[in-house]
Amino acid sequence: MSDEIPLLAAVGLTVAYGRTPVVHEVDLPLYAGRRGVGLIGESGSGKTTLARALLGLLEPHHGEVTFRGRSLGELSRAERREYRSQVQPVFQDGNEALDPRMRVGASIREALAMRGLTGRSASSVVTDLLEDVGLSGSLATRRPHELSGGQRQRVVIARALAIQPRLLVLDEPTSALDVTVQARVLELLERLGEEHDLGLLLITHNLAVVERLCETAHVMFAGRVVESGPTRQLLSQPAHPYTKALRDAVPTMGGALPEVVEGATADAADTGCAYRLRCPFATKVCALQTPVLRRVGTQSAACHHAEQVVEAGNPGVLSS
Amino acid sequence: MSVEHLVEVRDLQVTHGDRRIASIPELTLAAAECVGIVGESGSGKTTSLLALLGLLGRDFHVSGAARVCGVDVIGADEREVAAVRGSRIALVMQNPQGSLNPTMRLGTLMKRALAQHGVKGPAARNRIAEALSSVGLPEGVARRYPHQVSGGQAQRFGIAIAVALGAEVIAADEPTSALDVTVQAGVVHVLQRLRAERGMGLLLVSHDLALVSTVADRVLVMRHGEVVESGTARSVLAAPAHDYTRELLAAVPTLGAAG
Repeated sequence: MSDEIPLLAAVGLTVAYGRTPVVHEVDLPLYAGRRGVGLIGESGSGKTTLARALLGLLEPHHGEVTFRGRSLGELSRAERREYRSQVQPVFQDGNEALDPRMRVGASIREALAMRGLTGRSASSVVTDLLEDVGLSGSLATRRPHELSGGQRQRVVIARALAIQPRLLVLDEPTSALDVTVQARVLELLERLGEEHDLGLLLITHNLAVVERLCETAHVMFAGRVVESGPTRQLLSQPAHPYTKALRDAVPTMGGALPEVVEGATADAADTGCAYRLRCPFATKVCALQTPVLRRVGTQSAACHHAEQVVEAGNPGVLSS
Repeated sequence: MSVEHLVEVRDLQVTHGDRRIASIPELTLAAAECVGIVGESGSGKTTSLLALLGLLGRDFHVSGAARVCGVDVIGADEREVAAVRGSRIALVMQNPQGSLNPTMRLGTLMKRALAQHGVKGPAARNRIAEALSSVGLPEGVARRYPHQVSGGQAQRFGIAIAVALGAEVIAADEPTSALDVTVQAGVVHVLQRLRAERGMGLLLVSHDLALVSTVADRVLVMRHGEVVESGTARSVLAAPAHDYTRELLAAVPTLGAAG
């Protein structure tokens, strides 16, 4: 698996706004086909900036984004076209992603034309695509404002699928939706991943959504990936204190009120761990040395005290 | 009359033209109590809150009985309702930054709010200091502009205004939906502390059923403007009687549900 060339990857990627690095030395390989990868973190952690860089919408400051192993800047025209079609974004608000003046069918036909499909055959594919995302083909004649939020989000997904991508990059795809609508969009994404052999990069602050759709998860804090690993292990035995704090902050049905884990963030460019100011595990070394990702059980974590964090989250596990 | 309940609603109906937007047969809120109102977009939960605050426009028709801290907020004239709003019942909204005037420092915003209710000078300064500390904000926040504070701090500040004005009821409309999970917990702890220490009542409108289940004593489930189920949070959320409540609960993605 590690020999496989990733479809899309961030390699030592740093993205800065002015002088402030927002994404700091991130490595993130994404493979084609049927794998869900979650990117978790709070506002300002850099996850959306990372996604925008992966989509070629922001220039790297250092490092690079690669498509099939080649830097985006070095792609030939044909390769660039392939990149544009195989990696498709789905953003938070389906309302903004659709041209308000265009009927739904025309929006999807426009995407189909990108792969040379026009005329009658395109019209029947439009109907198929709408039905594929659980909408009636008759919606093709509607305009975006005539649809509900959930319907619009499905149209955006149908439009993305029209290009036959290998990877969808979804930034908070369900955050603006009601829970019952959200549940249907999640089912849709689960099904599409299987049927279309589609990779998903899912950016969200909703851990339960990541747990459901993603085999692998990466947690970002202050511009860096602080923990990566199989989603289930990462959430059940977090090795980074921030992952643990995130998990423990989610209210559970009928459970106790979650602990408070607020606090300052040290500057990402600063020496030392950016999380140390709110970290209950922090010691002197955390201020002196920036922790790098290292292997801890099934995960990688950038924490000097990862073993302690694992133990604290699961008393007794390490001793057995 | 003696004020047993902070909020008392009977047969509240809100209509717009000939459409019924919200209908609540019965709702009471006692001191220190929290009643959660859950439902999806268009269920009428926000409209119901706004009706209690007298904040619905003239094109809405409100009927029935609704008392807030003993004042009939439907029958009374606008001046009387305006006096109740803020000083007895305060609204805390989803987007805290958007609801604060961006051109004013937070301290100025709070001074103005107090001045509107006749509190000025040293008394105002004392109240501001006390209110900020009650929500866990440092006093220095008063010198900042809304864009210079985080979403969580802005939300705490919104609650601090309610505290400074001496509100007895907080009507919170999705107070944590726009916040990160780690910050959410802090805001909820503040609301819980105000209930426990000051006996504040909390009307919590939210689509986050897990959050409501950890905070609320009682729950109303609304759909298409109607209350489909109500009762103690424990009974409604652990053993829902209505299909829609069950559907809502099943739709919530929960951690640890997979495998």
